[in-house]
Amino acid sequence: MMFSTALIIVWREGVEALLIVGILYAWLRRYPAPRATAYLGAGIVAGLCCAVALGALLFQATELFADSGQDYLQIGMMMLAGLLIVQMVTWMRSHGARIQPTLQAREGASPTLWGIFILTALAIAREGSEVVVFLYGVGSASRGSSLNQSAAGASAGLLLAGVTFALLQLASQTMSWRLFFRLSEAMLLLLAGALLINAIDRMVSIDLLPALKDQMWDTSGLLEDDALGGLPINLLGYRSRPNLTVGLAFCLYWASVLCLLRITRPRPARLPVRPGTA
Amino acid sequence: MALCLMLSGAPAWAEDPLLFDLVAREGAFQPTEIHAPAGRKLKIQIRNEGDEPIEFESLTLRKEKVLAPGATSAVIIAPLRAGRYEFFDEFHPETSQGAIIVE
Repeated sequence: MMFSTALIIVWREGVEALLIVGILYAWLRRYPAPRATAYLGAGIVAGLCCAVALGALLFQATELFADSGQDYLQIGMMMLAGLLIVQMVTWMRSHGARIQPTLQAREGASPTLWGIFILTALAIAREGSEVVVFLYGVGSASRGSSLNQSAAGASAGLLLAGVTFALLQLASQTMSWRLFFRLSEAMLLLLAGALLINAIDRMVSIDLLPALKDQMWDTSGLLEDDALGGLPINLLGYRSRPNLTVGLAFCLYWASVLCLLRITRPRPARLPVRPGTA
Repeated sequence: MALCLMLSGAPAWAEDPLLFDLVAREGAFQPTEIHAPAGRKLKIQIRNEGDEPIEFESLTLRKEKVLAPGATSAVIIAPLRAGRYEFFDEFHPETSQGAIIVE
């Protein structure tokens, strides 16, 4: 029991961070830019530190996070992450062949480099803090066999996360770059949409925004919210019983993204390719 | 903004929420079922009396809240339609299933 709980928590919370870091990493392998990779690495380290710090805060300074404190923090982090993802995707699309020189330039690269750093750190800190609280709290309170089970489950979860990361890199090398880029773009935009929609929904749930109209329809017969461990909700922004505000946010997000995608149509394929790759 | 306020139906939002207590102990919630009337704002005061942290979570209500051992926190829920809304403790999922039953 402890084994599967630990495994699921570590792996599932890690998936979102993995998708973001894994895709950014794959993009940087394709268009090597050492400065950008350094910012990515620094983001990972900063994210891990923040995850530990945030986990410790959640654990110790409970008065800070009583009532709506946690919600405000989550809302802020989700909105920032969602916006940064959209910014990153549109930037990649519009720069096409000029990514490498732009990222390596002395000036002008800073906003994007910092964007990579912040997005990576955010992705890891957000999910990581929950894992930290779980591992520290539940791990330290258990004894004997259930402690072993937690440790084994957490390790297995990390391993699965590593495998997922490796599979993502493998995909980027084996399928045609155009296809991989399109798919990873789509995945990131879906994720950003889910983050922004979840943020709006949270705001409605703590009275920051009105629902306008509750539960416009009910498709829980077709697909329940908790199917697949919450995957539709967390990665796709699905709701079986959406309120009107969330519905409007969904439409506004996708309308904006489709406009942005049109405006930033990628350049025709004269992309610099590393020697030896297809 | 004014339009939003009008459409949101001022009376429901302006009322005081109905209070409920929920205690987390030994990987389970007490009570496992909360009965509430439809159309009223709800405030659930969660108290973690165990020695491990818990994460109160409801996918259908879009609520997630971590509580350290000994912590107390409130979860505010907008007026709901009749139905069954499940919640659980993400850190102890097998033993902590519960539901808010709205009628």
